Amino acid sequence: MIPDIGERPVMEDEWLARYILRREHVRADGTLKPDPFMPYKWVELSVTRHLGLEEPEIWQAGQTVAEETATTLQGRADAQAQVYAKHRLRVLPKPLPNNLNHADVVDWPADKAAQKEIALMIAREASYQPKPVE
Amino acid sequence: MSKTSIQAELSPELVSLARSFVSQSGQTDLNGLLEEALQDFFKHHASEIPDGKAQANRHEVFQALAAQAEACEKPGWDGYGAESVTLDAYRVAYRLVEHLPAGIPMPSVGAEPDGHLTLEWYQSPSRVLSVSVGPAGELNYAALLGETSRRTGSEVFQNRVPGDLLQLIHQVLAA
Repeated sequence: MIPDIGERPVMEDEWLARYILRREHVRADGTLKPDPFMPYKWVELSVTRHLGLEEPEIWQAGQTVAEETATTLQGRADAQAQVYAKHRLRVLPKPLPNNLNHADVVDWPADKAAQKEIALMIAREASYQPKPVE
Repeated sequence: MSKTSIQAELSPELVSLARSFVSQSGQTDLNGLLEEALQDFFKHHASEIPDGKAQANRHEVFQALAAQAEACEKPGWDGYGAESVTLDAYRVAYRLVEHLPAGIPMPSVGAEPDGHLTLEWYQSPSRVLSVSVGPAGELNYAALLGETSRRTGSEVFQNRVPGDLLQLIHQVLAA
């Protein structure tokens, strides 16, 4: 873990995780639906930077999200920051008390259909990692 | 007519049908005519339409919609502060599925953080149509039609499936 990670800008080759907490957000063939990539509620999308985290720590951050919201962690969608950047989105560090690696994907268009188009393209490029069996 | 020839000829056939309707009836509602032609096409070629990978029957989709709405009835269901899926959104989605022409492959069901339900027609990550259904009948959709071709649009559901959506469903599943 990097204590001052919130002060480091997100580089384009950094990996970002979007935690998946609904089983139906993953298709039967293991690909991702666009639904979990839709920004809300301030037209932002929460992600967690892999930077400085060991694999168990990346999963632990997702587990924390699930426990705080009484949901079940299904897995995570990994994509490099450049996947978001190519759609003119920016990834801004936004550390949270319980997740210093938290970041927001911002600059989404206001139009919902346009958001869906981008979400479809991100989903196409992201890879799904199911939660490891304990 | 083979499946391949349907795929290759659907768009020209529809265009031809629409032109024929226009010239015979003098009507100018091209969208309405295209929709009629698509409904007619799906009705007559139901057994020849490719299944798609998410094929299900209509009753299963109704059940999936009910289950999705129930699972997302409390705020925060996605772990990120999502809005509840309301009964109104469920009703609109139900009616949309109810109005899909016979023979058309059925979608899979999902939900988005603003509380809208989603219907997805999926062939591959690069050939997919996702439709958001809102409680006031808002339909927002986006489709990937290959590596570079894309479509988006917004409509209001008025007890008939918009012709553009029917055409996109075909385009997504016909590859």
